[in-house]
Amino acid sequence: MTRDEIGERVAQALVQALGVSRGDITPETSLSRDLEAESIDFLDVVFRLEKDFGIEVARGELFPQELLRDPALVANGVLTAEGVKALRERFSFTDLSHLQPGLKVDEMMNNMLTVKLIVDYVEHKLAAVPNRS
Amino acid sequence: MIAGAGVDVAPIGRVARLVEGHRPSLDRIFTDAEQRHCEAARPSRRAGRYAAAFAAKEAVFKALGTGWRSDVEWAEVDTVRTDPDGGVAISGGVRREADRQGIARIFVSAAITSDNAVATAIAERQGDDAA
Repeated sequence: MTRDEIGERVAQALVQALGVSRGDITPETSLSRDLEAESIDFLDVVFRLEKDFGIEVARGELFPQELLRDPALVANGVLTAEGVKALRERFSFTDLSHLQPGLKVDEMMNNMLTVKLIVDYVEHKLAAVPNRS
Repeated sequence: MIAGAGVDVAPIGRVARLVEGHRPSLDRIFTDAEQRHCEAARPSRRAGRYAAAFAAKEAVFKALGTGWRSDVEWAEVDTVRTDPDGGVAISGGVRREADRQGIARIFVSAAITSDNAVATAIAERQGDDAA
């Protein structure tokens, strides 16, 4: 499957899950900030990705849940240098060079959860499965 | 002493769409007991029960101050069962977070309208009985 095909399938999953129009979705679109996705929407998106691509989205793989609870990684609501390093390692499938220590976690989550990140993630997952990429 | 409070509103239609579209994945959101409780309702009431359960879970997360992104799972809050201390049944990461905060129990209440379900959660700190 090509990256363009992955991107189109991801976009369609977002259209169906969030009820947005295809024209609202670009690689830079943020699910939280631009599409106003809420908790139930994220569940819907994850379930659709799993079904559409035949992958399993394991806990913490797409959303850095437990990392954000580590006081060494997030202090007073902002990322530490160690937090930036941990996120870049966890999300090595995408480019997080824009993350810097001192960034507010809420702001980071809004900016980080983009369509491009999801496409990068799916591409990475499919590449790890023989005869699926 | 009250340690935290949370409230959430879940649109019944939105929850119904999630439930109907992803039945094989429902175990990751709703416990077996919750699914039995919801499915036991008349067809016209089932989605409302699911929405109430969803709103209650989100309210519990808010009462704990964790939010859905934290290290907690939806199915770790069982909204139709109670712990021995009278609070809503919690387990796993939700229990660990409650223990970390010294929270003994979390009380939940929910209501269902024609379009939405609303739920509130009150987290009570340990030692309140002796106070």
